[in-house]
Amino acid sequence: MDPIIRVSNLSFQYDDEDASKILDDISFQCEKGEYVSLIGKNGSGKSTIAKLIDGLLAPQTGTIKINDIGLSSHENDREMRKSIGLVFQNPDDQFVGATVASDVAFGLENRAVPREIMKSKVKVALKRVGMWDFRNEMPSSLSGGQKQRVAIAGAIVLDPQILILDEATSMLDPLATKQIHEVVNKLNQKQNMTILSITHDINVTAKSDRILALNDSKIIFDGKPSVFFQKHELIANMDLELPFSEKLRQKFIDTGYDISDRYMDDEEISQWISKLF
Amino acid sequence: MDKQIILKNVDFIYQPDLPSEKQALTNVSLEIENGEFMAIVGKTGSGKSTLVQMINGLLKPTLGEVTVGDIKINNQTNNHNLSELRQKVGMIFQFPEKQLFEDTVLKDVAFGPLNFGDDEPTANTKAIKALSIVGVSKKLYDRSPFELSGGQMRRVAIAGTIACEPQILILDEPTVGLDPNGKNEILKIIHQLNEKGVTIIMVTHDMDVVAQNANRVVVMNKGRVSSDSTPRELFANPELIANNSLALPDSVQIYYDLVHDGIQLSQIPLTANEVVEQITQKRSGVK
Repeated sequence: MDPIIRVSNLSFQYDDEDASKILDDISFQCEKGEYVSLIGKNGSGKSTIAKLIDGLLAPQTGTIKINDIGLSSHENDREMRKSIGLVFQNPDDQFVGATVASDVAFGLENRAVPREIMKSKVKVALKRVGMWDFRNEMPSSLSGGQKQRVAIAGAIVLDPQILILDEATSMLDPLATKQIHEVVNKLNQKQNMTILSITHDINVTAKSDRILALNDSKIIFDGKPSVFFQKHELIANMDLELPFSEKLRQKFIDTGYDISDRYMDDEEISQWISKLF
Repeated sequence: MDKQIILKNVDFIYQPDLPSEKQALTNVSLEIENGEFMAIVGKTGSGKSTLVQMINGLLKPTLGEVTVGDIKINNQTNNHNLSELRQKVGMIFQFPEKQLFEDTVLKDVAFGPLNFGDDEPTANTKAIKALSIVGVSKKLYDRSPFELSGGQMRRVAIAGTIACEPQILILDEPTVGLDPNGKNEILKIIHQLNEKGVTIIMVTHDMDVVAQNANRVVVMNKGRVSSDSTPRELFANPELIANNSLALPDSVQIYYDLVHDGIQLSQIPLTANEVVEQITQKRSGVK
């Protein structure tokens, strides 16, 4: 099967004369239904990739194909964007409707979807993110986490095949972050939606199928989270922090404990500790 | 010890006597000592931000009284009398880089001291000192603050507040939106200021930050103080944590997982190091 996203030899720089390349000869692909985390520090080019895939920026060299169709002419871009939903960092920057339901309906109204179909689609989308009970509220009265769930509903109501989250939880509290990631995991597993999640929070990458790590405009790692978390030097060079359980595993090793040499999450490490007694 | 800040039976109502009236604080009493590192946590809308704005006089109590050093603030206080307070209490809001406005880094940081009445050489000296504390290099002094990276902009914005040499520093979510490295650098700066005697009051959602930095944590709930304790004491109360939409730090989560498995450590660990220490201690006791 063809990959749903295929990025080949992509380079990009913003047009300041002295600007260096933001992306330098990047290639990767995502399969349909895959959950991929794109990780890197502030300024590493993560968001530029999202904007290129969504057609908000045009590639200078290289190609991006969605479902094997190239993003090149503007005609194609319009079609392409229909298959991609995008959720940004700041929940306050993405509302247009007076109520939660009308906000979610906005994209459908734009596409002249008949009213009855629109109503049922809005209902499905709001139920999927757990916000149906809030349909008549004003978006401004919601908490940050609720706003982001509504923003996700506004993206998925258009039935995209790919959902891109650009630092969508970096302004939220830990509980709201957890709830958003539960919603995203469900969309991925139940709807088989392809997820591209851009983040600098290593903890939220643990649940994804694959990590793409971006540093100094290049992809320096492409593989499973459990393998990535063991690359301590690479993670330090990227100015990222190890997940807590990996730090703890390392401390046990340093103290002379005989612990597995593979990554364990909090739960697995608790189980391992229990067996010591 | 000095009681540096005293809130006595403070109520605050936004837009009193209007249909939109909203009670944000109810009967809040707190005493904060010189040199404390206090975290304020709680849900969105619990009154955290209103509370900290009471301390630097941005808001005045509807009822009750706030005392900072020898300055008293109540509903009769005139804004003209608050300049001394504003100098004493520095305030850093969320995304402080949005408040940068001057055309060079140095001018931006020197603006505060100039505004509080310093002459230009003194203001520049204070600005340079503050910039060195936050680790902004001399090369950047004449650059526009808007050309800097996100992390650097935030450091410049923080320097602007420290340059006024506040005795109390209030921070509202100072690390939101930064990558882990940027976050750790900002926390290190705050820690150093605290070690030099600056009282730190920090609003945060990040319980790891609370666990590893604060000596005291206040939980706000619906405008009231619902708990006031050390971080370790707070984490010993999982029900209170859940009721306030807070998250347990990983080390504390592991502690409870072990309790569930019938293993009781001697105290709640706040870091990975403490987890390993306690396990080792417990095992040597077992043998």
